[in-house]
Amino acid sequence: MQYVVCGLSYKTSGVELRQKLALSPVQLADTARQLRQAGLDEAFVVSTCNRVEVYSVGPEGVGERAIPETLSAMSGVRLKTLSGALYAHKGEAAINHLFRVASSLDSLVVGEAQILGQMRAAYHVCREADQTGPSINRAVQRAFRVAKLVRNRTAIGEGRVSISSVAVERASHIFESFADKVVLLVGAGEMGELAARHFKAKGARQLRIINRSRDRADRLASRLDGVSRDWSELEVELATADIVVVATGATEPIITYKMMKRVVRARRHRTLVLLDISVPLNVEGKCRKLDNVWHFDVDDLEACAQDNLASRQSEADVAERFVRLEALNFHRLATHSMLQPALSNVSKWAADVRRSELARLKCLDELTDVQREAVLLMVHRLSGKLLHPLLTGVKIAARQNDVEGILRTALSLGQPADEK
Amino acid sequence: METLFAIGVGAYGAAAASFAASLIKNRPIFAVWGRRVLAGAVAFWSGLLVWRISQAGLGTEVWLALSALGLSGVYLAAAARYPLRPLGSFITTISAVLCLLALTAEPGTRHFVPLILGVHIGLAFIGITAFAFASALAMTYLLHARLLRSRSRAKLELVRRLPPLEVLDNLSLRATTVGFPLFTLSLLLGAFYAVRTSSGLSISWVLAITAWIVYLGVIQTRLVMGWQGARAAKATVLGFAVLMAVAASYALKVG
Repeated sequence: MQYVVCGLSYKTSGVELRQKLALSPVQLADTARQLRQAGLDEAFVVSTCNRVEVYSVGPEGVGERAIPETLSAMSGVRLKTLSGALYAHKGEAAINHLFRVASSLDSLVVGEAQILGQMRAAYHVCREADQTGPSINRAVQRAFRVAKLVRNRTAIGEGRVSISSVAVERASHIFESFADKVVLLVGAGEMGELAARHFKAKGARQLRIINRSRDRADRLASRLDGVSRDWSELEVELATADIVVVATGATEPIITYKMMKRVVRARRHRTLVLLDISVPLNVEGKCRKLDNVWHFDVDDLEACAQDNLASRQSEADVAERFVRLEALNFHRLATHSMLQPALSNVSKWAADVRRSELARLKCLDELTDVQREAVLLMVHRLSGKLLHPLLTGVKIAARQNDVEGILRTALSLGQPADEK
Repeated sequence: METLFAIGVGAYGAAAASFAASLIKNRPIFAVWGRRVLAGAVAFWSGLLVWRISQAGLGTEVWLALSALGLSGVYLAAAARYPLRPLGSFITTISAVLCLLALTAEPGTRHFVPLILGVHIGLAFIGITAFAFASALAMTYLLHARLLRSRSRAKLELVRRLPPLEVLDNLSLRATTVGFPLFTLSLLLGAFYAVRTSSGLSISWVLAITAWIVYLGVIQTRLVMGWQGARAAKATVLGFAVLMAVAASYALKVG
C-alpha cells in the first residue's frame, strides 16, 4: 500500500495536451472510478488549466501502471505521447507533491489562491462519488491545513502579480473603498475588461465604458453590468469619474496633458486615479505632474508586479522547507497507521498457529490442570518472545521512515505460505 | 515634579520608538506595544496633571501637557476604528515635543486667572490638539503620496503599511474643521481680554493670527473650492508649524 501521484502540469506539457486531458467534474469521478476498477484502493483526481493529476493509494506498482493507461483511455491521447509528459512520485515524495500543489508552490504564479479552491472542489466531487478512502482523506485534509498555514505564516500570497490586479491594488492605496467610486474604462479590449472585472469585484459603484466603436462598448457594458458612453463624451466622463482605466490599441496618446488640465479644473481638483495599461501608452506622461491626478502607466504597474513576484519567490523558499517537514511527518504517521492492520494480522496469525499446534498435542488431555496451564503459558510466552523483536523493530522503522522493506516482510508474515 | 514630567516625556518617546520600529520593521507587534505604552503614558499624564492642577492651578505647562494628552487620547480612539498604525509615530513625537515645551515652560502666574482668560487658553489648547492631529495626518499623507509615486520595492512595501490617502485626507479635514471654530473663539476671547486689560500686540498674537489665517485658507479651499490632497496637507502642516511657534513663544515667554 502506498501513495502515488501521477499526472502532468504546465511544467511538463503544452497547453494543447493539457486541454485534451482536461476533465469536467463528472469526468473526475468517472476517472477515479475506472482507476479503482484497475486495482487502486483510493483515487482523487484534480484537473485545472495548469495540471491534471491523480493521487492514489493502492498496492505497489499498480498506480504507476494504471494511471497513465486510464488517462490515455479517457483522453484518447496515445500512451506513448502521454508518457513523455507524465511524472510520478510515490511515498513521501507523493505527499510532498500534494502539499506543494495545495500550497501553491508548484503553481505557474507562485502563491495564487485559486488552486486551493480547485482542489477542494475536485476533492468534494471524488469524495461524494465515494472514490476516496481514509488514506486519501487524511492526506488531502492535511494538505489543505498545510496550505492554510503556509498562507498565514509566510507572505507568499501577498502582493498582486498581474497588471490588472496591481492596478486595483494601486487604486486601493488611494481610496478607502470603491463602493462610492465611478470607474471609467476607456477601450473595450481584453486587458481593460480584466481590470474592470477586478474593480467590479471590489465593489465599484458604477462602471462606465467608452470606446471608439460604440457597439463594442455596448456589448462589454452588458457583460459587465455597466453603462456605455459615446466617444465624444470622453472629456466629460473624465471630469466625473474617480478611476480611469485606459486600455486602447491607439498608437498616440488619447488623453493629453492639455485635456487633463481642463479636466482637473472641471473636477475642482478632486482626486483622480488614471491607470494606463495600454502599450503604446495612451496617456501623456506629463499628466502625473497635475495636482491630485494619480497617473500610473504600464511600466509602473509591471515593475510592481515583478517585485511582488520576486518577493513571493523568496517567501516560497521558506514555505518549501515548512512543507517538506510537514510531508515527512505526515508520511511517517501515515505509514505507521497503514502498518497497524498488518501488525494485528501477525499477532492473529501467531495465535492461530498456537491453537492448531496445541490441538495437535494429544497428550495435553492426560496432563494435570497445573501441568496443562504451564504448557499453555509456555507456548504463549514463546510465540510472544519470538514475535516481539520483529514487531518492535517494524514499529521503530516506521517511525524512522525506513519501513518499506520491513513492511513487506511484516505483510508476508500474516499470509499463508503459498501466497508468500 | 520635573522628574515626573521627564518620565512622562520618556513614556511618549518610548511609544514613538515602538511605532517607528513597527513602521520600519513591518512588525505589527511593535505597534501593539506602542499603543500599550501610549495608553500607559495617557494614564500617567492624566494622574500627574490632576495632581499638578490641584497643587498649583492651571499654568502654561499644564495646558501644553493637556494638549499632548488630548492628542494622544484622540489618536488612541481613532486608531481603534481606522488603520492608523503608522500615524502613531507622528502623534507620539508631537506629544513628546509638547511635553518637552511644558517641561521647559516658566511657571508664570497661576492664581487668580480670570475666567475669560482661562476659557481662552483652554479653547486654544483644545484647538491646537485638533490641529496637531490634523497635521500628523497631513504629514502621513505627504509621506504616503511621495512613496506611492516611487517604483522602488522598499518604498512600495512601506506604502502597504499606511492607510489609504482618502482616509488620511478626510480625517485631517475633519480634525481641522473641529479645531478651527474652537481656535477662532479662543482668539476672540483673547482679543477681548487684551482690549480690556490694554495689553499691547505681542509676537505670540501676530503668530496666532497668522496661523488662524492659514487655517482659514485651508478650510476655505477645502470646503468651498473642494481642494484635496497634497496642497491642503502642506497648508495644514504649515499652519501647525506656526502654532508650534506660538506655543513656544508662550512657553519661553518671548511674546
